[in-house]
Amino acid sequence: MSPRRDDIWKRIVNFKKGMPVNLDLMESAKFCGNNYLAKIVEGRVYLVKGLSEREYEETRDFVFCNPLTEELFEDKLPDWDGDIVEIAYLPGVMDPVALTLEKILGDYFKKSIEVETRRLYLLEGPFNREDAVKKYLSNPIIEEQVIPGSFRENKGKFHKAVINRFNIESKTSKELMDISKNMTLSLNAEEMIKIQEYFTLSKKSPTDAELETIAQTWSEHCVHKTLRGEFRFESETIDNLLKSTIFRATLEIGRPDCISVFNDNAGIVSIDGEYAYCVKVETHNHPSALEPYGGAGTGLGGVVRDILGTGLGAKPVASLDVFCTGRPDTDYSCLPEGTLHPRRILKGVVSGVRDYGNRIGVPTLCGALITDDRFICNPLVFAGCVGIMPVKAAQKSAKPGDKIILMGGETGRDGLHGATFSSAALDTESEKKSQGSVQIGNPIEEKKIIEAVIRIRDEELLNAVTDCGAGGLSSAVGEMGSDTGALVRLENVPLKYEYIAPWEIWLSESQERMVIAVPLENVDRVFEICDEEQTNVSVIGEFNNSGKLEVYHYEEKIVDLDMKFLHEGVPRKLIESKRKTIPDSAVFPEETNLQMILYELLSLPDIGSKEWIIRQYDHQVQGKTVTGPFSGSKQKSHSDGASFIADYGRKEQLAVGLGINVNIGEFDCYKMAYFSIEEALRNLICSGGNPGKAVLLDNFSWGSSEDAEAMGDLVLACKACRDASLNYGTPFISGKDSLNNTYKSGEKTLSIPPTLLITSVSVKETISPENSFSVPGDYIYVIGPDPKGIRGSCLTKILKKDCGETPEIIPDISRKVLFETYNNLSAFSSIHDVSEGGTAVCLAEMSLGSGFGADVKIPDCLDTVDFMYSESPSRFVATTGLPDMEKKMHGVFIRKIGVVTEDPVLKIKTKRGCMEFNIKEMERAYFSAKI
Amino acid sequence: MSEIRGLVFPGGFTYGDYLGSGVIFSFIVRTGIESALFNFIEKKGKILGICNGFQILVRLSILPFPGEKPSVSLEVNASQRFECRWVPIIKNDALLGNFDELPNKFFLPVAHLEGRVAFSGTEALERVLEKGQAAFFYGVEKPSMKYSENPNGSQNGIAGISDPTGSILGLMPHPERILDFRQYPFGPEGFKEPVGVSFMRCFFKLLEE
Repeated sequence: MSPRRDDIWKRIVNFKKGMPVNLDLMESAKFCGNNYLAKIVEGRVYLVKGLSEREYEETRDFVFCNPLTEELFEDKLPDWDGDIVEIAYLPGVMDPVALTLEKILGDYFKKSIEVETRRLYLLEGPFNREDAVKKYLSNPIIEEQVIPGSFRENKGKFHKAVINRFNIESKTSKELMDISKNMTLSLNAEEMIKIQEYFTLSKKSPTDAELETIAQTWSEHCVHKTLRGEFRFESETIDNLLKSTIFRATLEIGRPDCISVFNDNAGIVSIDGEYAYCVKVETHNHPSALEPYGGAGTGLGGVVRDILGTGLGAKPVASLDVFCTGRPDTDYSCLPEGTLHPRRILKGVVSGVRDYGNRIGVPTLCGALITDDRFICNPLVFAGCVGIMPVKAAQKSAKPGDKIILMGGETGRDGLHGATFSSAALDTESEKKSQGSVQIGNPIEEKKIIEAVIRIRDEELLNAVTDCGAGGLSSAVGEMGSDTGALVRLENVPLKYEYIAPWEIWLSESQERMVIAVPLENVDRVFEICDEEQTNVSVIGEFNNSGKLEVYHYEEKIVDLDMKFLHEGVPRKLIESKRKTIPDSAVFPEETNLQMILYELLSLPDIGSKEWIIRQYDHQVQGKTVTGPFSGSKQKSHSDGASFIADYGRKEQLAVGLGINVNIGEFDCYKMAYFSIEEALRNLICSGGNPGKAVLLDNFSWGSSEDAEAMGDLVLACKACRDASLNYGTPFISGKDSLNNTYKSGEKTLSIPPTLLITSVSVKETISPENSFSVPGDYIYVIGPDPKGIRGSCLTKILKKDCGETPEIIPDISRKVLFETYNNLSAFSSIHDVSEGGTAVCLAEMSLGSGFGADVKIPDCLDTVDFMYSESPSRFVATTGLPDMEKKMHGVFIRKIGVVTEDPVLKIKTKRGCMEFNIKEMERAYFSAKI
Repeated sequence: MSEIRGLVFPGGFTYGDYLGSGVIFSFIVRTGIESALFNFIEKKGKILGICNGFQILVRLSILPFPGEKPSVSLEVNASQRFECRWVPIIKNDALLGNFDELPNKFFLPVAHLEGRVAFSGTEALERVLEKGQAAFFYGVEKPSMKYSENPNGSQNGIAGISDPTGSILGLMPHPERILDFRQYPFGPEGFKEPVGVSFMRCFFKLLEE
């Protein structure tokens, strides 16, 4: 054999010995309608250029293969009678494995090594190749099928692009809109005219980079122009909905520990005057609809960087994730064109969060799953993160003269148009239009920048930091320099490849990058730190006093905009809104088998165990978790919320509780928002959080801003946020909205239901009771007003029938129940909030967690259906050895309903008889929902 | 290395575990400090590997028999999934003389995708069992193969392995995550301190030898 030349691709395919069938893929194939495949075997492909044969052999058994369990096929395909499919990333898509290999091998052999990774599938049995590639072997948004054994030269090379100028001075409004559409600017006619006026006045023709910069800065995603717009609602005119409801409540409450609200990446709350926590929850809906794995992973990565970029930098310590998708058992043939199956979305988002969160070493502590047909086209992914920082690092401001430093990953063409794309509706063409706005993350790069930023902060080397999120450098530098001015030289930005247009460098949303403002004298030290943390760093410009945003690419000036116009020029939006009409509801079908209903409820994916998701997330990494996602000595039921020690060497704990209630929004969005806030607080209390020190976050995911009824719902939800916030004295500190979650398929526009996620966080100062029964013989109490109303409950979801009335909330009573319960927390051996599925599900969950049963009698004055399944608010089930809890908790509704039993049976006595639920059978239902 | 008494390879996805758990980190160790590390081992230096650290020690063939041909690998869990859960652990004190402060039975969390102890042949397995090198087992009363007591399908329920002298110990569960009683959901079992604290104390005591 002749010696291999270094400039030839070496092709290595790695299989597990014995070529085991990939059962997971077999199942996916089956689900996509292929029951005939006999085998799918998956192999990993490495294409390597730059290694000599000797160098390859030196590394083979240590890098490319574990000789004990794996076998290699070098420069050849395995002998296989069936079909072979090879999948490669599209040019320009992040390949973290290849990047890592290039770095490690390059460092070791001290030369440049090129790597590409692929997957090889060996299939046996009949299958439709096109279908398989599209539905279960790859995602065409980021990957493509290639000829097995082939090579691709010019990986990720593009033609050189030039700077375009647009003559818009004499364009009509229609022509302007064409420009907006063709460039995916998502700007409306009024906004385009405002831009035309600005450029006409400054006697210039805008460049592509300038139009893109304005579009990103003015996007719904960045500036929230709808929520800050002027709403017409019934006879009211509401100027700036956000400011007049949610902000106003925060101002009125005026909590001194909330040291930064609504003006940074995340809200900041002081714990003890010296130390603070910050929280942010983001949505990453559109990218996750198209590429669930990358979308959810980069969603989490993005919110972690939000925390890292808060103040002068906060350390990410815990994260949360909430998914809303279609039902996993949706029939494949019912899917609208261009959408992914809910099962695939769920699998993708769960693995995305798992791979990103676990790899950066931040525990994923809590979450929720909502399934509903209306999320089929527009699934929702919420990702949140809590960070810890010194109070003195809470404020930031870039000073004129500070160097603009970019650190982290290299910049490529990935992730263009994220902000504008995510602000628009999805349609059947989104799949094609969005290529590039969907990305794969590199968690290891993120881990490195986390370490580097925190060190730079601790050595007090920086004046400001922010993450490169939507809009890339354009919005990061634009925001940081909005009060001063900034000059950027794009030729200094480290690039993934040579051929990339200047506006693309400026707008690219390549992941894992941070921008920091550093005084000249500290630049060398910052470089040293980044070097030690093995992450890229470069000076790309300077903040100045110009009041302008100026961007150069070598000699050419590609952006020259007034900061004032950029940040204040967006025209006010007028929003028409109205109250939706609610249809009459039917009467509850008396013949319903109330016993079977409990099993059906327990097997709903929304209520049933989320073990199949949660066990894949590391919820204890960093070693600070106190209350994890599971509860009870059997760890079989879920916890209400989560709690963790704030930081090493500190005593304080933080608790987190979530609230989300989509069902009731169909009838009343005011109640939906109020109930969600109240539920979040009850979850917080059950985890030991102090409601008196709690703060809230809002995340609105809504339908179209052109839909008056959807906007009416938004007004009602915002008003409820204000009222509830004032009622409990808990301020909102941060929020985010994602509008236009609609899908155009032909003539039809499908919309998501109004969805509001409420996150509550507070310090935890007590030891919290279990969320499952823990002491047999203890008395079981229901705290809170008697339940009434089943409309919008999980019960009606199962019956597929709209019946009954929606429950009421009485603010005074609710507040009293919450605070009194918290004050008496130490008296309880266990406590659990009553929410989805009502008291019956609450009792069942408390049994499942520990294996203890209960003997419960429904009070004669209560209706059986209401008692068991109403989801009316302000209620807890709690247990204690004290027989007279009624006396201890005066002024609060409280009823003794039974006792905890050793016998593993949940018995509920009604007027008509006794229902018995064996724990084994409940377990069967509770663990049945998984994919 | 001459100053060092003990080495800990902690958990954490080194280099993302791209190409397999601990592959790249062990390559860097191998190409950087291999001879110094084996000198350290020869002088009875103490090494602890937790989770990813255990995977690295196995991949470097430091466990179970330092310097011999590799005979164990840590493979993808039998469930084919990442598993984050509490597992019952049984201590085998044959070689862990200094771990007497650690209770004989307790719970620890695991969090890994590749934790299934797989021997390349029965000979290596028998040697490990015979010499008492299987330091920890999954199981309530006796070593278990039952999911989820045994979270990954490890052969003979083995959760941790030491070298033949008891100087080097690697395990998949995370004792360092339980340093506070509040983190332990199984109620007090008469332990005088959290399991993780006992564990680390025992390891530090070992260093004083």
